[in-house]
Amino acid sequence: MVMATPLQQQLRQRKLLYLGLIVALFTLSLLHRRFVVEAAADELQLREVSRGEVDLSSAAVRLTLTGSRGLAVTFLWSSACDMQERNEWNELDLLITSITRLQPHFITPWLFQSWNLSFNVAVEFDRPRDKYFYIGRGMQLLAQGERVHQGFREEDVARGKQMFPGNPDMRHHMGITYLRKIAGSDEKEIMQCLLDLSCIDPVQREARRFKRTGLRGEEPDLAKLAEFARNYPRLVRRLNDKLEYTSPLQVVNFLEENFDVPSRFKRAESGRESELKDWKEQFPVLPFPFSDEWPNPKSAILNTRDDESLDVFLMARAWFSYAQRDLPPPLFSRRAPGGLRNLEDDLDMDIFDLKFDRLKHRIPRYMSLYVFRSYPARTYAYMAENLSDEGWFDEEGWSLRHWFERQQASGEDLRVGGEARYHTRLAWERAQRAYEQYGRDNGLLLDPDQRRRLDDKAEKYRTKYKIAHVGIGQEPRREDMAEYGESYKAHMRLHANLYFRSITNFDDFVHQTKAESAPQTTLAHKLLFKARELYRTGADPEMALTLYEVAWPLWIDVLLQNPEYAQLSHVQEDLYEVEVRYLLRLLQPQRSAELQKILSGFAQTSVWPQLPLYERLPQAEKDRIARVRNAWGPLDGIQYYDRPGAAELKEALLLWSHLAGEPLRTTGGPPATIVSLMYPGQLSRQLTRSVHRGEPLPSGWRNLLDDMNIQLVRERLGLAPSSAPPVPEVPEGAPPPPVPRR
Amino acid sequence: MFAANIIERELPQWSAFPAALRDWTQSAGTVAALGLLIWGLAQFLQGNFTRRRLLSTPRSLWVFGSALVSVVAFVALLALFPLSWMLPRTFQKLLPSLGATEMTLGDWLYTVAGAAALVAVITPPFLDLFTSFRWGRIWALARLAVKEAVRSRVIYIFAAMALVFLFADWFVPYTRGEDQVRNYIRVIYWSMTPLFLMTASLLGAFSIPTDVRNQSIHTIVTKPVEKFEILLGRFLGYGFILTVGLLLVAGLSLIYMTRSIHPSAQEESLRARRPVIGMLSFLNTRHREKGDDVGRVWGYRSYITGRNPTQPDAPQPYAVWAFDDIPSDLGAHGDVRLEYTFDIFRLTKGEQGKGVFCTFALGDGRLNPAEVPDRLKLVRKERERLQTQARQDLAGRSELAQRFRDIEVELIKTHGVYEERGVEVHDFVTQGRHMPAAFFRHMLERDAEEPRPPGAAGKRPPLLWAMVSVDFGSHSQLVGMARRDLYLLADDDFFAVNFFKGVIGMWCTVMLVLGLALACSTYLSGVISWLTTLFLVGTGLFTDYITRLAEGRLPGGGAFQSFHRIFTRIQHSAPLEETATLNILQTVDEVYAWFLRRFINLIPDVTRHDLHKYVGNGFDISWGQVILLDNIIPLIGYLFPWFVLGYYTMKYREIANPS
Repeated sequence: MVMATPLQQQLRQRKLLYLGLIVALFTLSLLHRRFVVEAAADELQLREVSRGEVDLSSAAVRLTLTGSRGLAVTFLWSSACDMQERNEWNELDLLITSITRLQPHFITPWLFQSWNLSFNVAVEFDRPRDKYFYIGRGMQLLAQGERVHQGFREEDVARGKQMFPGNPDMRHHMGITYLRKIAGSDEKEIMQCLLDLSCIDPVQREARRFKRTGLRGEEPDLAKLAEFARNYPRLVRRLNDKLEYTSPLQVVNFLEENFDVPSRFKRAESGRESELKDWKEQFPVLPFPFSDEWPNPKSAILNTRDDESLDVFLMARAWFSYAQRDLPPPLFSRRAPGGLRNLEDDLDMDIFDLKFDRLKHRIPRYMSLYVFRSYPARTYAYMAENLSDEGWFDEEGWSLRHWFERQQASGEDLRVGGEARYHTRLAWERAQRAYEQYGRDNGLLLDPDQRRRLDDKAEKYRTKYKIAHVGIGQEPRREDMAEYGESYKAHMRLHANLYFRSITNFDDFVHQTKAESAPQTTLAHKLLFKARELYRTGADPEMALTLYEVAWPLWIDVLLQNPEYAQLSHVQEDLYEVEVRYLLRLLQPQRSAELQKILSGFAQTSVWPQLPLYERLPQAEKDRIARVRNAWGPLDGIQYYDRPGAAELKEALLLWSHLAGEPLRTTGGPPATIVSLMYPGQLSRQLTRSVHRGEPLPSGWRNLLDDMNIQLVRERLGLAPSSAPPVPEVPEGAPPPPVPRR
Repeated sequence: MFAANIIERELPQWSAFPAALRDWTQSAGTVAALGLLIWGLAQFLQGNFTRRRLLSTPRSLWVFGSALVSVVAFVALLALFPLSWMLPRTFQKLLPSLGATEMTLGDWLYTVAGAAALVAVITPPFLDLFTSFRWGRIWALARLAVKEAVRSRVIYIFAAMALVFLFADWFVPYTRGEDQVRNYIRVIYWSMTPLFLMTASLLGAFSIPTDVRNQSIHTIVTKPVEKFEILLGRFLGYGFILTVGLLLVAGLSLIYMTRSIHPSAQEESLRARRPVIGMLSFLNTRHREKGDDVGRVWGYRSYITGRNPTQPDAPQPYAVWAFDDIPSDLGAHGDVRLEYTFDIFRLTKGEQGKGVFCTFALGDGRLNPAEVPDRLKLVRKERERLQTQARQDLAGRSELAQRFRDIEVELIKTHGVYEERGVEVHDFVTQGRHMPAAFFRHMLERDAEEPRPPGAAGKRPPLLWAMVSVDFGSHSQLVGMARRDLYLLADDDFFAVNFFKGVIGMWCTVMLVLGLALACSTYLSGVISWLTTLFLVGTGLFTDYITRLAEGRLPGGGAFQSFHRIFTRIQHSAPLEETATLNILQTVDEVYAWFLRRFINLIPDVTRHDLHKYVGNGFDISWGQVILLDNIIPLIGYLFPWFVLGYYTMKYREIANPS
């Protein structure tokens, strides 16, 4: 063995040293990358995997495009615009898919193109199921984009890994699309029916299941169809009442025509139960089921709750609630930093200037946070309204008897939808609770004692700086800060409360949900609904009249008992519209003989001698006697006292009038015997009168229905000329009106 | 989007072939004349322009003679322009009309000049084709090209298509049932076209320059081989490889595509309709050639509405399709399907779930379309009378139904009209009605017995009319239609055959790119050839836009005006203020457009070879009109001058030249 020279040995040692250094530095850099760089990148949400779902193929294509991605996307975007102009929707869809895949972390294309598909493209189609497809397509796209930005991956949830905040705007837009395109579009009834179909296993709604061979060939199998209606009463009733699919055959045809809608289920072999699609591919598309309150897309039965029926608003609510998930906790909620506090606490906290950790929370980009937070509660109210609009009030449900009219009535119960999940009042109660919770969490719900205490505290500052009760005030001067600082903060706290209440319309919603939760209100709605249906179908106009006549006093009680509710303009408008329709379309035609006699009698009073002309008129002439357009109904003449303290005054009056028969009590409310003897609406009917509409209002009194709301409805129905100021005519040659500068 | 083939440009007709040939002769001839001019100048400067050389052989005499004719014709043509400025009334009408059907003196001169220049230019390669070229050598060179391509593993690129099959769902994750086949076709075309175009351009652009650079070309040119044979051999060899690859990939794509197709897509697209298409005009609208404009950006369709209830005496608007001829066996095997896909533009919400109701009428072509509605009124009354009588006479349901059918046939024969009322129409979906065969048979029989006499303009009236109107109940809705939105379905062919016909379109593009790249590579280096090819083909995707730019038809003005608008933030619909700047911009734009017009014919019309819409929408691609006339002939027409150029550049290139 030849010994290496010292020079060679040195060289070898140096090489070994270098090698060791390389290995060490490499290992160190790996460790540094793993534990420092990646941890920091994770923390700052810089890695793609920490933003949400990662699409490997999308990432691969982006890498292959290297620096030309911008060029490719621009070209695709331009082509997409071109395709849209040319109505080449499927190609547009493909292009949009490519654009969003190439630019997955740019939020605007997801938002814009999903809106484009759901609103612009869908509306181009005439067939509802095509519209529905593109609405769904837009929502699928947005949901996909949301998943890319959701801040977690599905597998991370199971492992309990750290989650990052997602994008609230995208989640909110999902809810908005449900609201505007399925729950509130021109074709909302049919869209909601299609949504119901999407949620039902296609095997269960296959049209041939509901057909059988009878004596006259193929006919609907009523027993199976009734079973279907029992399972999906809202769908069948909507078809019947709103879309005029009144016969079983029409319902079966509808199921057949719309069998192929976007669905939650995979296409199954005939006769076999369908399998659920992956939750991300389903339509209706839903968020990851973080809460039991939300419909669960991983379950075959979407809504397992007993107290709520499946509804488009339920899905919208799931998205709106999901949108709240990564917002900073509401200031007055239990989750707020520093724990639960009430509006009087911590007056130093500036409500207008929200501070939060941007790595843990996100806020909506454009919308006020308070309005944004109100959406889940709003959907509770929408849900109740929808039930009421469809005619689900209580355990009475809906009868299928008209399907069986030709057949011998079977002994079985033909009513469907009597379960609690369809009861309007319970839905309103939930809405009321949701609004109260929202109000408490966000410092909007202020009890009178709190308000008084804050007012007292603020009074000092208001007096000093001559600030009105409401309105933003200047900060106290530095030298006054010690004396007036607390008072100023109390004033500003009240101002913030008022401001946020007004931008969210909070008070109106609270009053509405409270009033609607009362059984009496539900009954009043039900009576009107039934009367309207009897009139609409022409089944029994006389019974419709009777129901209206029962409903009006009940409505007067409801309104007087809930004066804040009664003062809501939309409540007044809705009621007045119903009343006008009742007067003009039902009452007057039904009582035309009597009315014509009265009107001709009035006409004759101006002539002497008064001959019995009416009896001599031919029927054609009698029919020409016009209806009275300016008729006043039972609600129009009601006036009531409405000053601060009106409620106490009414109570005192009632007590005073009943005290004669009762031993005098000095404490507590009205004596129990008095209460038991009272008619339920008696207290609210104190200081109330029914007069001719034109009679002047005494000071402190108000009409049950305001003049302005009446005028609006009459204008809308074409019963009154428009009160809007006329547009001035521009003389020819006159200079154009000045355009305001930006 | 739906089974109406949207073709904005009318397909070429055989009758227009001479005019197209004339245009081509003029364009190619100009290029040839330019080439001759350059060659002549070069020869002149080198002192080669001697009488002895020019007239030494019959060949050179022929070339010189043709060139001389061309020069004379061009000079005469150019002389027309100053004359037309001096005496506009006399000479302006003699100027070239460029595309008009009637030939002016200028057109004749231009065509003769172009043709003569072409003759002068193509004579040498043409004579070489018969005297020097040997097909055996070309075949051997082609085989060599194939071997080279195989050895260079270029065919592995085709395997990349497998990736597309793997990731196709990436593009089509969520499809409306009817669009499934369309989307598959779109994705396959999107993937196949660039794949093959890149392969063709790389093969074409780099093969000859690489051989030159590596000097391996000397192993060929030192053999008794004509240089142009190398070009032809490469073209055929690479063309063969690409054709086989295209067929293989297309076959696999077809298998991939026809798996588990949605029934509605099958009905919509998995077929090859052979439509009979009429000419569309309008009746009782403001203009005969179009209906109302609803303000859509894309003005492809015209709209009609129902009769306005406030104007009950106003005439009913109709869309009228004139069918000059129909196949003689139409209706021989049962009722004829009339298919249509319209666009609906709603002015009111209408009823939920209900479409727009229309009336479809057929009328004898000898009638004036305005007479058809009156004739139909008469028929309605008579039908009512006959049906009432039948109801009284007959009791059995089947007998009555048969009698009703007989009544319809009788009425058709007597009055020559037929209608279907209250037909519910939806948009973006193919709908159809079965029209009685008796009507079509009656029209054909009548035409055979008593041929249609020519009208005042010498044109025969159409065989039949198809008329569509919007019913009174849907009067507030507008229905939009274009010529190809309604057709009589003559026959259905196999989808697979049609799919391969569509691939022929793609093949044309591939060959165009290959030929172009090879022609460029005869003179330019590999990279420059490749970039030139990509540039020309890339701009070919926007020929429509470039043509409008060159002709000054773009809204908002030319490139410089648009640039000005961007910076001054004035939208293109707004007029610009009349200033000196605008005048300068307009002048610059005009100069720019003039130059662009000179080069516009160099740009290949690549979009015409894209036949995916036929395949995706389920329409047959006809061999004659679409494949031959609209694809193969334009391809030859475009490549021919390039190959002639290639012949000369290859010939005069310094590769082992004897001198």
